[in-house]
Amino acid sequence: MYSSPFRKYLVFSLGAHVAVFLISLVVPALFGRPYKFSQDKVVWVNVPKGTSNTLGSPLKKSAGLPQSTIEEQKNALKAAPSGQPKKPLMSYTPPNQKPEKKPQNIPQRIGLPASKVDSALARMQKMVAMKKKVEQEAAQVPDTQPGGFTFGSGTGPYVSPDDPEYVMYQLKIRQKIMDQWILPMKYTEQASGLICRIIVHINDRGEVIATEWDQKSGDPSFDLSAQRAVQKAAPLDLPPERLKYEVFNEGFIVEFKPTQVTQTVP
Amino acid sequence: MKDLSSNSSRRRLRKPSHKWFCRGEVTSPLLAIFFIFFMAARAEARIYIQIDQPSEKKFPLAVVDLVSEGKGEDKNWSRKVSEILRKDLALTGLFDLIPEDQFPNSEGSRATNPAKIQFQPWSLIGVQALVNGSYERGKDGIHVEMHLYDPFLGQHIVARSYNSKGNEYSVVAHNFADEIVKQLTGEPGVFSTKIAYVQLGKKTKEIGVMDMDGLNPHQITKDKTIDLSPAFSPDGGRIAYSTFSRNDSTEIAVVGSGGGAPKRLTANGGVNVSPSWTPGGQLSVAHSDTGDMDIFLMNMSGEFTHKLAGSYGIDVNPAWSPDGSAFVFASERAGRLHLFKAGAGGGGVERLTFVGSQNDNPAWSPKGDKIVFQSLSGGWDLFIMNTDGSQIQRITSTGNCESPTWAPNGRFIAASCGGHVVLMREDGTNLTPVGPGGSLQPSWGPAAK
Repeated sequence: MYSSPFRKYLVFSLGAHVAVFLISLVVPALFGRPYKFSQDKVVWVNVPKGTSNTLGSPLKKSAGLPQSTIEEQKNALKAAPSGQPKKPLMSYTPPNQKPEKKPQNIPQRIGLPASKVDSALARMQKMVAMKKKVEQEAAQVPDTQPGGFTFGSGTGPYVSPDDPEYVMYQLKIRQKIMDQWILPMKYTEQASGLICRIIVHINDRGEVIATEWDQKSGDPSFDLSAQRAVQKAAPLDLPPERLKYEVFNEGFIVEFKPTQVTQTVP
Repeated sequence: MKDLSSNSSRRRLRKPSHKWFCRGEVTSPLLAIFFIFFMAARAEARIYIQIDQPSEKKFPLAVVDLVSEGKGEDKNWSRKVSEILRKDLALTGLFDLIPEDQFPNSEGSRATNPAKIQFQPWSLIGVQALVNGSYERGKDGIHVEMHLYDPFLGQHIVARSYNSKGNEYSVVAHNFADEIVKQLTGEPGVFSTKIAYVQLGKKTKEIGVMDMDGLNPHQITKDKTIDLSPAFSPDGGRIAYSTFSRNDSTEIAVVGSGGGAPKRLTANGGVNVSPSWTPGGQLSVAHSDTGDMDIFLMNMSGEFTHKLAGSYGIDVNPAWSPDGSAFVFASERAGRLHLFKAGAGGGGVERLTFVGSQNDNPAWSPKGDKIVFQSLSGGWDLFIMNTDGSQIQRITSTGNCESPTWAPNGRFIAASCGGHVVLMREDGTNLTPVGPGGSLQPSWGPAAK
């Protein structure tokens, strides 16, 4: 067997390895960037058409006939993609300006009885209350149907992303490029099976500085539409701190793979 | 002699190393650090972005007025073909028609010769498909050439030539619109198809036929009574309808889709309504002698050959699946009017709707996957569902839409909304009135041959 000095060095070496490894786990910053066991895992998220932030919102089963049309449901998603109405996050008053005081004791308009004003206000409030709440709904939805896809091509359940920061950034870029991808309808109305992949490099202002083909589809019209989409989508969102290295050094690989467009749930 | 094989002597004889980097206690941690860095570097991966659907932006397309190649300009040919083309393509809801004031004016960009046209001015304004054409008056009439280009690829996609003896602007425009849609979507268009409808008069209702975009509307019956429920035959040659007769009965009649003398098929003195053709060319109608309406198959002599559906309460408005293996109908057998499905012979009845009231006038899509119907929900509106009754979705909310019918390609639905025939996409979007005022109960004819 091994000689005694060799054994000593071996044990010492093993101990050092373990120590360094433990230090790397406890203080990852010493070693540049954190080490993650699951770095190789790629999370693919299938998102309904134009609604990248509606993950996990299943189709509501309405008890009677649905109240909102498919078009209204689509428009509602476009108007508030996060599912929340658009409103300013906070109000700001310049330091030198005093906020306007709400006037007290508003004088009644001459000739307009208070009862009429009250009834008009009541009518307006009623109209506001009656304003239809648009929900993603359908009637007679079978229990076996997985929740989710109102307008997408997918038929399976949503994928639960296990890295929200990564997936959210992915979705932002996806949405921007998707918004600019105008494809001749023949590729979407019927399954074409075409795929192309473009590697996209951006700078720290989000501008597309270079693109290279990873895979061409062989159909020039299709490939050109993909390339146009990437160029027109710029400037792209900047990555969160943790993803900067990948984005600026490796770039994105954008895969264009149209699936058959289905307007209503199959 | 010393035993050199012993450990002690080996230890003594070994020369201690002075090079620090050769010493195990230093190299091992270095190796470990290197290993970890290597692992971290290996873990780099490009961020994958999967784009599986294009935007909902419409396809940018420019239609240029036709250019006269011969002597003199005919403003009708210059303008009308392009105007009809723009109107038809707008009906699809698929195209963003670039306004004419944005068109480039350079001579090269307006050339109609595929060898001379310059595409760059068009691609600069984002036009992804360009339509232009020319006409020339000859001895035999007008010779028209139409072209479709992809300015970004600089490609001539398709060309068609037409000879017109008269002023067949709409025929040329409809035909080339079909060609454009076929080239860009992979499916033929339906612009050369016809729609039959009921034209509301002062005291009468007659049957009319028009192009699917509302052009060339003309009356084909002059019965001077109430004609209702027109139904195009599968070959497009005949239209069946129900007509009120003087003895207060309602009979079934058939008229050629181009007009002519109608032929009364029934004369049984009862109520005969909602004629519907099977894909094989037989007629199914709802008939009643006593007020309880049932559905029958009928031959062209007006004889009922087979009872398809009969129950307590009315059974009405049959609509056949495209393969003829089943039909859907409205029935009161469950109380309120609901939709039911049965096999071709009338067996295996299955209830499809359990929500809504007065679910009526179903129409089975030509693709076989959907059924559209009307229901009373505040007002009359249209709903769409799978053929097993699942997934009912609303497609209109105006409260005045009835009598839906499918385009032969299954991409559009026509209906009567607010006293007009309207077109919409299959999901209810892009709703556009096309019919003349007082046009009701459309029936979409088959694809043009």
